[in-house]
Amino acid sequence: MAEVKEIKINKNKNDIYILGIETSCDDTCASVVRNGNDILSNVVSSQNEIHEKYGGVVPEIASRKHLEMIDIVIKEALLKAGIESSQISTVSVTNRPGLLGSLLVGAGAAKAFCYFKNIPLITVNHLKAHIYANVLANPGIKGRAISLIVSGGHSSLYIMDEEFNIKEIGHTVDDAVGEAYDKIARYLGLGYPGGPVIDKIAKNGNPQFVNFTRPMTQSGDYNFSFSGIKTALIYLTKKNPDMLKEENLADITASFQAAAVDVLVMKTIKAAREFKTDKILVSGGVAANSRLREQFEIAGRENKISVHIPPVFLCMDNAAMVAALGYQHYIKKEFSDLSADVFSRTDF
Amino acid sequence: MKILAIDSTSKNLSICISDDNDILSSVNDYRSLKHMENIIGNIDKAFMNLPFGIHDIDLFAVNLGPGDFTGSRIGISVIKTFSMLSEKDAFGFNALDAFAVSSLFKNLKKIERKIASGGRVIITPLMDVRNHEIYFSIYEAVISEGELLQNGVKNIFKEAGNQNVVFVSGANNKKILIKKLYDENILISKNDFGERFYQLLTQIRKLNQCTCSSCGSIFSGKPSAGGTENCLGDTADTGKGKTGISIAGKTGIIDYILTGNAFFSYSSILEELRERSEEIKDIKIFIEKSNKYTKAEYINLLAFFRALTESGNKNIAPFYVRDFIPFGK
Repeated sequence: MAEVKEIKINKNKNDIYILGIETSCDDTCASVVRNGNDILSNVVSSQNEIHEKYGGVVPEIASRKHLEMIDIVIKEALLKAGIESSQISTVSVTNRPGLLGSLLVGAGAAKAFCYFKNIPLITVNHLKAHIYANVLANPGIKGRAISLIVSGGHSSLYIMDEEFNIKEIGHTVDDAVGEAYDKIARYLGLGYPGGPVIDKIAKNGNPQFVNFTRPMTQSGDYNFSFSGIKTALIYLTKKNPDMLKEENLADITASFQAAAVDVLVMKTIKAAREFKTDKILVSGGVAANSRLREQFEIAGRENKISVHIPPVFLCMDNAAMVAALGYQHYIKKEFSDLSADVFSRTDF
Repeated sequence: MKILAIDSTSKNLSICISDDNDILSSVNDYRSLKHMENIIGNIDKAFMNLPFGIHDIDLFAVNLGPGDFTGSRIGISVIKTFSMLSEKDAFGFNALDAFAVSSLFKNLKKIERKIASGGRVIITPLMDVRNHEIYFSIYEAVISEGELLQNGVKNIFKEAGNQNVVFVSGANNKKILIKKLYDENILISKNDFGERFYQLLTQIRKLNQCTCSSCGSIFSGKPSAGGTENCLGDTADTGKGKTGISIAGKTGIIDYILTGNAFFSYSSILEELRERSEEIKDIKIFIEKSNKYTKAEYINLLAFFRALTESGNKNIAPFYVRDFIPFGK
């Protein structure tokens, strides 16, 4: 490709303002972060209402809605932060992994922004940004750690070293945990997204009502499987239609949630023990789940492992974590060319 | 008025910069479908030999498709961001409009001669969307009145504007009006020919005429009750060879220009023509095969003439088509 004009780095001003853009799935997000840790604005335009009637994200629609919102969301992020577009030092954008049609919109906007303002571009990994949300929430976190990402698209375990180098040690072999939540919510007619709805209903339920098998706990690796719990629930309720009655909903969802959370906590703690680390970082949309947070706290205390989970707004897809991770690249001068592409799948 | 237009809806990643309707710089990149990687570099290339830069652009324009799923989104995203940062207007245009305008200019002399001798010229861009379907629009080329020509571009557009007609001008300063034949406002109420034409058009199997205003077509009419969900573009099933040409035969249109990338449909049209040879023996058909990909320069022209009467709508979105498959190979 043609050479792009020489990149200028804003050295005169002390404060570094980074614009983060995140459009990897169905939320259009933009955020301005100062000096890598001070969130000045964090705008999220959710598409939940649109995808609700389909019971899941429709990539074509998600991409169209991103296009409709992208300039509005970026403008809003600048406005809320109270800064001008010319004060932005660099744009940090998610370019992998995610839905291609969605990633393209954010990456296109980020490149156009950088070209127009003649500033460097930073491309970041969505999963790394999720893990980094912990550092953003808790700047003291350092050192070797086990990291669990749980969302609608991922359920994976990683080992992370002091330098923030990340290696995957396990992943789901079928559904992501958030996906299982969505599918069960759809089956029970509870709406979309399934996570928050089930979490709310299950609060009043008995988690021992049905004792679902905890899959893959004896597998000897760090992989997960959630599709089995979902199928077990569906067959059980088909056999006993009484279980689908309103008064049983809380108990049945609480039992499902208990099984899913147990597996996640059990295997994450096991990984921390076997990799001899006393730190666990949990992130991703499902990390907003109240039972998961509660169980991790208990397990952490019992095993003398410090478990970090960011506040809920940093668990969900957001651009603040993208901007904050972008700051780490910025100080190391790890910039991307304006010919950077987007990728639906990726390694770290 | 300096205009930057992007057309990334086909394999041709096309960037064009114009000052009013003078094309200053045009970059057409047919190398690959890697538009995400090449777009900024090619924009920079387009500015390379110009005395001004991206900050001096007064108006942005983009081809909204139908076209390549990823390509069209890249162009729109970039144009919207430029528009937001510069606080300048942005326009989006339908790919079929761009095809029509391009074949108008390529055949300008031929069309003018035909119209001057009392004939009519119909331009139909056809787009191959596979599954035995094409998207098409039908336009008529009309030379404007002699006295209007002398009054300049703005006046003509003003006169025509109320009738949902767009004025387009070429580099050689020839002036021609294109209007959409099946526009209900103009043709059904005011013109007997149009009424017959419209009736015939509705008989084409599975035809969905886009009547919504949000699809971005300069020729689209009033919003339908269903909003954008009904906006499926102009589609026709060519499975049985029924195409727009049957209409041309019955209404005695003399010349018919077929353009666009739906080459497979041309043969079915010609077959049908042969069957109807008695009925339509006066019709001449020009098939333009050079028009495989659209180019941004036609988007510049559309934007220039539209900007004379309207301000831009920044909330532009891709033209909605069902499961559109990229046609670049």
